[in-house]
Amino acid sequence: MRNADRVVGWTLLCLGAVCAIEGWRTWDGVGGTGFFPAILAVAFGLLGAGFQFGGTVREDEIPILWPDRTGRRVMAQVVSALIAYAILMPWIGYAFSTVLFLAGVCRIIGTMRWSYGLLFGIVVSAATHVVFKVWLNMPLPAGAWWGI
Amino acid sequence: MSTLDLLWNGLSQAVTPMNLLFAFIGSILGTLVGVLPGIGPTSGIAILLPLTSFLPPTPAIIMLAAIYYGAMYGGSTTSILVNIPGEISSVVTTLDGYQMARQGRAGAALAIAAISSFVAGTLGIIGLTFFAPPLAEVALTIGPPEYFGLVVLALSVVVSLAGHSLLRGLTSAALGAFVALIGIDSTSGLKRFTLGNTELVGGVDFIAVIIGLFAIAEVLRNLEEQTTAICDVALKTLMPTLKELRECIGTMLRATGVGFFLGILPGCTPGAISFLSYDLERRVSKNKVQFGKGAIQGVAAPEGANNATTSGGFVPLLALGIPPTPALAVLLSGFMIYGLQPGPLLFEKQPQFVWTVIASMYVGNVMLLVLNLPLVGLWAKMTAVPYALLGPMILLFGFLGAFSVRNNLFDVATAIFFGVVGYLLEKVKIPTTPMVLALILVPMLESSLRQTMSMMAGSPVLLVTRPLALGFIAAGVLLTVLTLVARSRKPRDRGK
Repeated sequence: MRNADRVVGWTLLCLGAVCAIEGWRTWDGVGGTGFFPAILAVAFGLLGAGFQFGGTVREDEIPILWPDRTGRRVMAQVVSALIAYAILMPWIGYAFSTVLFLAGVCRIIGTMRWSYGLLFGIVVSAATHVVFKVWLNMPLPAGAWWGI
Repeated sequence: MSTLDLLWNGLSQAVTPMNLLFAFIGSILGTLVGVLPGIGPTSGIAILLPLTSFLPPTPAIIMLAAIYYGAMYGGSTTSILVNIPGEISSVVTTLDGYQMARQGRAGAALAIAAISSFVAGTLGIIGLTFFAPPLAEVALTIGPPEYFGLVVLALSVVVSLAGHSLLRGLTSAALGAFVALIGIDSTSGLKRFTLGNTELVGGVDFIAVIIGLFAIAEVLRNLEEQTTAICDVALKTLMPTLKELRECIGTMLRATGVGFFLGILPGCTPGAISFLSYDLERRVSKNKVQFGKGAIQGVAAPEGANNATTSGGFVPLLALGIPPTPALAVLLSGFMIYGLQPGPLLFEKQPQFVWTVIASMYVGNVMLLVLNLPLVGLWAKMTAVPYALLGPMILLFGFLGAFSVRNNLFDVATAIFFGVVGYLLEKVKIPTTPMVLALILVPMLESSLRQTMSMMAGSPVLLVTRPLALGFIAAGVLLTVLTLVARSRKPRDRGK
């Protein structure tokens, strides 16, 4: 845990530096725009020092259990699928991208066959399209590639 | 005519078949809207407002009010079942509700949420019935210094939400404050922490943050643990036991008090109120250790406070024409569409309308309970759905919830980012709840401090010269000190 604490400590100290710069840049008196960033700079500095120089409790002795290789791969694939979904949606539209996303994630998480995943994706995509786009009028992207 | 006579007249109008029907439709629509992540009461009412346009004023407002409290209740369902708080006031419900669901007690959690909402909602309406005008006057005397004090009091909750390590809890709160400050400062127009990104100028939306911290991070954790279903033990009884119900009576009454009285105050958000109610419950509970691990009172308290807030919010809305929350501001626009101007004169000029609407709230609360209790079993079964299907659905609804806030994909990216951050924070044992609390409270703290200082030519002296403001601040400091003392005395009994 000590190594993780040091990383957290350094991260907080960096955030403190960012807040100090922003507080100084926007400072216009007590209660002004830079006031809270300045307070946060002090807070992050103290907290960062706390992590760097001890002050944590029993958890220090508990090692962090990171996922195994398979777990890491699955998590990375799911996060990548989410990012790809967000990138693709404006281009290929909500309905099509949702089918692909659900089929893909079902395959990653549950090793489901592509055909079942696609069927699941089509059903859910159609149902959510009706609820969110048709009934609730949410402006979900229709797809720039289709010229819509 | 006495209040009871007026209420009786209102009730006789509220139970006409047409008004009952629209209260029923409103309750269903509101609950459905509340269940959908990201679409909270405000957007729910705004989206469904046109649906009422073909109705006469009374059934239209009855339906809108039913949508409002249905949506306030509906948010608990996804919080309990899949750890997605549909709106900010449901965040606290996830702490114990989701843990109960994982232990096979989703039914009991949903049932106590419905019962607590009903009890607190009904008691709140009784308060609205008998005390609306005098309470509204009191609410008007609360100014920025008192709000500042109230926020300080609410921030004291951070210490008790900190878990095993105060350092980590405070770190979480500081991170929340940092996120809250991102964007343009509404007073000076200066940008803070935007890094030249135009998307960040409008700030980071808290719905996207909570969807990331709770829903996406939870999916990542479940993937790591190779979870096969949210609840991998047999579903236990669908209803709370009589003993649990008895234990929750005090909780519901306290939640009503906190929710109703703070709900009257304009600007006091339901999110902060549900946190305060949860904290109060943990402080008075004999079984503090259980909180955060599936305590039934941990569900009853925020849900009760949430619904009591709903009733309390109607006090300034009806009596003064001041909407205390954004959702009620949209509802106020609904009033205005029909040429109704809420305020003191509304009670004199349109007594039948006002009392019919108030009476319909009693009916609507019963309707919500009758509607939702039979559905508990059905909802609870969702926790047994294979995670290979449920996981992708949670991600999809999280995605839609984040997108729906401002209809842009930047909020989705924000949710994904905070999903990864939430997962990493959990790994280094930093709790995420204080972060959410700070995210809600810091903007309120900043604006109330500025308003207070502008009242006295840049001096914050009003914070110590106004008795109520000073009282709130002193209470906040006292609670913090008491919690710190308790933590140092009983290190082994600290709750999460």
